[in-house]
Amino acid sequence: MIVAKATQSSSNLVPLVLSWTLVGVPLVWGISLTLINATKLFK
Amino acid sequence: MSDDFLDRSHSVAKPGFSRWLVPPAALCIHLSIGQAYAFSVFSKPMSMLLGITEPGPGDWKISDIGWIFSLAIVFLGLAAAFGGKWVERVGPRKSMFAAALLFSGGLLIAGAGVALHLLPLVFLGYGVVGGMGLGIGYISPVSTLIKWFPDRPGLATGTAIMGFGGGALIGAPLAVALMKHYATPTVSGVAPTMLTMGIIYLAFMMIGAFIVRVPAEGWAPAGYVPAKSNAAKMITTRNVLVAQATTTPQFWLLWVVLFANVTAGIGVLGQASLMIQEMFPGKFPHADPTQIKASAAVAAGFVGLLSIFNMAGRIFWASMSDFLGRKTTYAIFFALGIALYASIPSLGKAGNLPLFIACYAIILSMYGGGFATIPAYLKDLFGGLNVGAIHGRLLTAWSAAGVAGPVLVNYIREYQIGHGVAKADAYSVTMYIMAGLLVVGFVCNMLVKQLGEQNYVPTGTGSLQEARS
Repeated sequence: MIVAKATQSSSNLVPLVLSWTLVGVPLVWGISLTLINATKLFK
Repeated sequence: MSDDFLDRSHSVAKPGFSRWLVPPAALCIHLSIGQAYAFSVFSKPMSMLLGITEPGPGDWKISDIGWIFSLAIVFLGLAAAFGGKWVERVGPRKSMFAAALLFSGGLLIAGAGVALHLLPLVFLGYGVVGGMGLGIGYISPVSTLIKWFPDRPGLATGTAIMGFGGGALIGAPLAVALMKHYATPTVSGVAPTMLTMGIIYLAFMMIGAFIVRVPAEGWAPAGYVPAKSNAAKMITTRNVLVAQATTTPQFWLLWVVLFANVTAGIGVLGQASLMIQEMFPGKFPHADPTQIKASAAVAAGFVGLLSIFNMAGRIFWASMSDFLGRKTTYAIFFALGIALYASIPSLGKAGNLPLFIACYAIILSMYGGGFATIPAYLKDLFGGLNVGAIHGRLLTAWSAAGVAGPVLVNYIREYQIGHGVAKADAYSVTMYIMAGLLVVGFVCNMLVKQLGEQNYVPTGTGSLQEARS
């Protein structure tokens, strides 16, 4: 069995940040717009 | 793009590759195809393509437009069921690539159908071609994620399937903004919006296909000790052939479990907006047209809030199932669901809006959780090797629920109103019937037992190849 090393290579850091930002930014945008609309329920 | 690049063998991760790059790759696919949940934003504009400001002669009816989404869900199930083995064979990159072409191609064809005002072309584009993209895209990252996260399969699949719930939160405002941008006093903005979204989603999904990697044979995360088969938790380390899996009672019990959970969820989600407006007339006045518009906007906020719980429930419950066990997690969905569905009518009558919203939010979180936990349940029972294909076949339950849920709810409601029941009270029977459906789901879940020995592929030379073929 090939077991991964406990610490990830630093060369992964940039792609990790970029890829999570790529999916995170639109998701946060969508959630924030939805939450703003939902606040009307509690006014 | 070279066909070689898309092959499973060319997407094997090199040493040092971080497995945490795989969930965003899966999210690129699921956040895109999750746009399907927001298709209703096109319904009203598509019913006014000729009249522009209001439906004109020759415009499509809302009821006809509604078939586009239903068709897409049916083809989602069919593509997942019949394409599952292909997805397992060719690997995630080629299947994600195919899903990107189909889904975005479907949007482009539908956009052409809108521009030419040909409804059958929209059915073909979004319903058939796009629907197949939904099905292939939905299952393509599942087994890869399970292989990368053998220690937390629920978390892994929950993250991806959360994206399908979250896709609507992006797709709806994006479509609204684009339609506003493209609309002119004489031309609706629907067609160019679909074309633009098709191109955006194609690029986004291709990034996912580019990032995704499969682990090398025998790879395991640091510190991971493979658990031995655990009969008490119904976790196996062995594998079952796809065709064999569908002959087992366990598969069909889980089919009913998913069907019950989805039918009940679709039933309440589909009528959430109307229900809150009719049960709380003080909060949603309809005395004049301006109030109706304002009330509809607040109700839309409620539906949006439910979408967030639908999305969050996917990662929350699927992650929790790693600790609670899958059977216990589903038992919670059904037991808690029965209590909540049965409480909603009395909460409405009591005028308790915050508790009503809280009940609905928990129900929707469990609806999403049901989708996200099922791949890990299948992996536990049937092994990880063919889980994508087996999951694909199980998703026919979703297609069936996608048709049965709305039909059941609308029929019950119309029947009651036709027999003189007040609109606000017409929901009570629906909720009690949905609670009854959850009782069926609860019983089926409790009947799930570990598979018999005869179902597993024997361990030995060539068996793995046979299991994958």
